[in-house]
Amino acid sequence: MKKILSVFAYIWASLGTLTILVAFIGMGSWQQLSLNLPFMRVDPQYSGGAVVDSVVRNNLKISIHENVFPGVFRQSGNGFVQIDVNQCPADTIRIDSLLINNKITTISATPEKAEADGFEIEDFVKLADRWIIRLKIEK
Amino acid sequence: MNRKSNYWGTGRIGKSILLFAPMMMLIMLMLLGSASGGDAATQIARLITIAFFGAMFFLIIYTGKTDKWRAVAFIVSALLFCIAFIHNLILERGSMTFSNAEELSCTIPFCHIVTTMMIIPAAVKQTILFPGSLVEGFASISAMFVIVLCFSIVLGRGFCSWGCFYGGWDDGTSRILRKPVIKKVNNSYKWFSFAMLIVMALWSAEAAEPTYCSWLCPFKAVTENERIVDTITLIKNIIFTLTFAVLVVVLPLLTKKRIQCATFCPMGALLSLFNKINIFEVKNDTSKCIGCGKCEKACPMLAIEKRCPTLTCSKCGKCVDACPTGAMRFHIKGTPIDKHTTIARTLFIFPAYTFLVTLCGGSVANGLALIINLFI
Amino acid sequence: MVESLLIGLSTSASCVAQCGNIILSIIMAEKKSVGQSYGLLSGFMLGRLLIYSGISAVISLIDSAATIPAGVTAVSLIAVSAIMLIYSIGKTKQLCLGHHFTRKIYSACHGRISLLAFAAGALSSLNICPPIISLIASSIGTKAVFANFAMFFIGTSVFFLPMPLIGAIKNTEAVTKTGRAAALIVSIIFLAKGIGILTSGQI
Repeated sequence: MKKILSVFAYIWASLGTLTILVAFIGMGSWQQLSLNLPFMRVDPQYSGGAVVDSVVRNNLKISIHENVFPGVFRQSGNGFVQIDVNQCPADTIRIDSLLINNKITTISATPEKAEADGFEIEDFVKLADRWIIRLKIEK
Repeated sequence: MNRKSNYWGTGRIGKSILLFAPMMMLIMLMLLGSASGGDAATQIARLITIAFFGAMFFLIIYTGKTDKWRAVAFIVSALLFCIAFIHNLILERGSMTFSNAEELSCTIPFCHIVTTMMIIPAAVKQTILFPGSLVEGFASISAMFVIVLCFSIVLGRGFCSWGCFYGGWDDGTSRILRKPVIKKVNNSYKWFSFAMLIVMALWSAEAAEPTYCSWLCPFKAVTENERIVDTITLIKNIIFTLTFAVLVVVLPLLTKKRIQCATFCPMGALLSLFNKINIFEVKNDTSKCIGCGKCEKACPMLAIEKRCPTLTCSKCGKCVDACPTGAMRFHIKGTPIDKHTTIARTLFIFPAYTFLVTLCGGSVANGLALIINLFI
Repeated sequence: MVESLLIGLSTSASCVAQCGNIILSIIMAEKKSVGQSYGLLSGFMLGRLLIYSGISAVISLIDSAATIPAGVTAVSLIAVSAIMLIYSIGKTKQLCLGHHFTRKIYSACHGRISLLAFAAGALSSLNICPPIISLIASSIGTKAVFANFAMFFIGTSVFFLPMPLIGAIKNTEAVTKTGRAAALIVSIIFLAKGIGILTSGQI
């Protein structure tokens, strides 16, 4: 019995190098497989949440995300709605008649700052391929 | 007193080459396999990296001293990793600091220590509470998930001495002085890392952010950190610098122990739990033990109590090298302690070293290329 | 309520380290079966629940309509931090008044071990241990005082549940020391929160 256990232990120990090689060489496949795990999604407080609407305003493609209230065990009373401007305009932009959290608002933004009617700006960043504007909302 | 033999005895070069050859092939496979081209500096760096890792492995096998040569490879990997990492960040975003833009675009590299803070949110809310990319870029979440799973199962806490690109820092600083200034360090301090694990996991879930990363990680000082834009970010950067200075430089220097890894790192505590199911361990053959206590003095992880390695052993091999009678040895659970010690050591060193080369080899080559580029 | 649960969970390691030793020593001394040991644990828990209910009733009577200024909250958090700090570095045995009472009762109640467990639970809950203070600090002025204490009770009870499985806890030193270290970390967090409130201009 002890000998059988020993043999099994040596076999298991020998598989260590093979496991590492398989993991790294097949990294692409393992990554894709791991994406099927239920928790493999970035929290909405960082990703902005799912896109619920796409509109075009003044030749700008706008994506509106879902309402996000951060928290793990319970949602915070203060959240945000993320708006993506899917280009990088050089100038001032004006986005009229956006329906955000059951309110119609107008957003205006320059490369330096953004403003929205009826909403406070939580965050405004300019990325290489888009602008992200987050509007504060409350429950 | 018989000095333990370096298993085949010094001079059995043939058998050393026999073991070295497959590892050399693996090193070349992992470092050359996906890389091609590049300028002269890159190609030279790649060759030097292959030669370096090959040489260190050969010396581990030939001399029978695990820790001495492992440490060289480990420390060099940590230093060059950080150089390559910072350079990568500067290329991508122009700075080693990050701001809102990187957080909102989810491009922050995912570090293995973050795993400890992700457990509760992943279980409760089924999300990853980190502004990283799932598949793209350097250190994506899915890639790190696979890597963490791999080393947790194969190495257990051995990752802390054979893979962690942060661990090399305090491993290095703990070896600078010949003798410790603070001679006695209570082994009980290692339980602090378990407390860190529990509190950080819970605090992260409560605060809905990776709090260890946001507030405490010493290695933010040598990798990436938040841009200083207000008082809070200033305080954070002061904390990062202080914890690095105290836990990674000063205390390891004075105690010759890996203070940050042994007493502070929550990932180390989590991996200690994996040690329970890991097939490899370091064990004391009490029939040969003479009770000199050299193993306990040598252990940098505060893991040896009453001459027996405990849960927090990182399998660095320092106690094995220090033991004058060969009582301390690498062992495979379920096998006799007094037989096949050479095989047990070899079966551990192969996956451990393969992991080190695979995880850090590319960064070592990149870091080296940057240094070579300064001169040519 | 969730915060109370988290206070209970995060400080339960130190709870087990201090108060858990009482019930653990009783269970180990009695050498009963696992089922009977769970009976002892239940008695211990009932005592704790009774006392927590009492404390919550007192708080809700006193503070039914009061609101606590931010400054008072900050000071109480800092006070809790100080106590947790002293507790963690090992000079706080005197703070756990219940520890001494339960030892005396143990010798008086020899033979009625279930009553002993109940009394041990009740008295150890009376001690002014730091987790209770932090719970009181966060409960004052809220409407769900009893619910907070109930959640705290559940949070701290979690780590007690494996105790009758003696084999699962071989290294009580690890639990004690981890608990003490956790108390130190929590003290730093509470201190930072208290200072944050004081310096944020909310006062």
